Amino acid sequence: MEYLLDLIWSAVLLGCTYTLVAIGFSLFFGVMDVVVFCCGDIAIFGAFSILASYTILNSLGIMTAWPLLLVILLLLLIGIIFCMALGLLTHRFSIKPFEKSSALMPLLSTIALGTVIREVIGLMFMPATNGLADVVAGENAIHVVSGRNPQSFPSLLSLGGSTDTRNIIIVAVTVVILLLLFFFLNKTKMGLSMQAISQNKELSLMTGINVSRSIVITFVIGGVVLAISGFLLGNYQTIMSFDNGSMFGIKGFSAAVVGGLRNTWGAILGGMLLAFVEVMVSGYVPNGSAYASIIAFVVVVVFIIFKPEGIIGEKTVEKV
Amino acid sequence: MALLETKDLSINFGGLWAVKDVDFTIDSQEVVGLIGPNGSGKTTFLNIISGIYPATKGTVHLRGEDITGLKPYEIFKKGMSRTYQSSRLCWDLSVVDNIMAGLVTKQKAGFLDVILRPKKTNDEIYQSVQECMDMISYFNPKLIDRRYELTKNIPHIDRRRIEISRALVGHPAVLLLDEPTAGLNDEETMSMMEDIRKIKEKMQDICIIIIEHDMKVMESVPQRIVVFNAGMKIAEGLYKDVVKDPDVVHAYLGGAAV
Repeated sequence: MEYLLDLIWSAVLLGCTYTLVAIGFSLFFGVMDVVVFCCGDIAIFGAFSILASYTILNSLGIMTAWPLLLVILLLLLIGIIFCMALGLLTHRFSIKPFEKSSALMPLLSTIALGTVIREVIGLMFMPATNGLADVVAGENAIHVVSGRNPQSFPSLLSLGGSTDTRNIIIVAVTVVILLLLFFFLNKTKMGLSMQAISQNKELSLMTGINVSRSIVITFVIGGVVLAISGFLLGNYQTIMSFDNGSMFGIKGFSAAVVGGLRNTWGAILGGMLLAFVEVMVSGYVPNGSAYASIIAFVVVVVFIIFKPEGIIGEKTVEKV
Repeated sequence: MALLETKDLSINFGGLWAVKDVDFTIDSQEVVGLIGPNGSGKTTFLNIISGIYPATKGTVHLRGEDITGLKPYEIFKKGMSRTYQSSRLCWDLSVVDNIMAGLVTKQKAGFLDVILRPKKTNDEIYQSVQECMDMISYFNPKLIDRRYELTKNIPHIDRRRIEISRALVGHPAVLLLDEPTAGLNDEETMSMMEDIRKIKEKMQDICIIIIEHDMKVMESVPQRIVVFNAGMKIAEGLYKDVVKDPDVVHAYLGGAAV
């Protein structure tokens, strides 16, 4: 029983990180009808910018001089600024030029941009054996089998070395972000404008909504959500590799599709479902962690076949 | 000075002049009908003056102010409002919410007001709802009882009325109606004509540009008709004169008819 509870807990934690990336996907898709495929890479870029800032702050002695909470907020702010900037650059150079071409173009260009981001991170973070040694050594040795330059992520949230506080913080932060996002999207004029653009662009144009400004703001908000998801994933995995963004992005996208693209609640359900499948397969199937992703993606395929509109997505009927 | 005036207005799509050198004026209180065969550039013309397409050349002036090249939301704020040929409603929003979309730029409540909900915000929302209800009840009082129903459950003609109410609720100076009777049967077309007359009664200063294929509507609603063909204005005047114009007959029926 305790084992099951542990698994559920792990699934919720993993689900939280997937959910946030999935929300990034559905935000962008909702407002622009475009799949921004480099969401995962933007999130990991945020995580790495936090990692780099941590190293700098540490060398300056700020880590010990300032209270931990302040440092965490500062690091998070840096990650958010980087992700926002990257999100805006993505929009400017990878999506806007293709506004009038087919939806395939921004899809391809963001896949390409994702590869660029990934490789740039890989070049900037050469093997850091010092950082890694701490994590790999000891009785809870972690064997890193994939990734060229794995880096250890500072365990900022594990106050007093306990992962319990970290886990609670991950869930709490996700819930707060979801609530804020829900409030923003449903109660503020800007959030409602974003939804209006997603539902009916011509209507938005002629009710006085500044569509291009709303799109920019979507990228800013998406950047914030992705930075936080990268930060939480870093804390959860404790080891980050430059190419994590690829798988992380695909999982987030799958979660968004399973839940129903466009739908924020769907992103939560999709993220949790995917995480539960993965964790349960790892936990109960002998040697299951090798199959976890396979089964998770089989679930995605099944969903695409039988419920392509997603768990709570609505069927769209094109009138001819 | 005309309320809305275009000079040499043209747009080129990849070598094709969809609208070419159109000079057009409309004064306040006027209702002008645009007719022309399919693909003659009527809707494109509306799309240029409402800012959706940028003009390749020419100018648009509203109350003497050059609005050429402004974005649709800026033109909306200057007092031009429109409906589309096919429904542009949010199906999952209620009747009143759809109409309220027309007031969104006029509402002052900011981020904090929405959280704290001071009295002035509540009053503003209440007043907006009231304005929307006044507007829709003018066209169909029965919709008041259905105000919280989703628009996807509302009959087609009432959806049209909701769209017109949304366009009117912000009290625009110019209203552009793109085929308001599309998809309506004869009886409904008659009541839509009546509705357009009601708009004139309620808002006397408003000027309306209406695109319509139904000649019954064109005969009785607009004071003046402008005829488009192949992107150009080929005739202008009273309905009874325009329909006899040889160029117009030629455009509609081909060379043999003349």
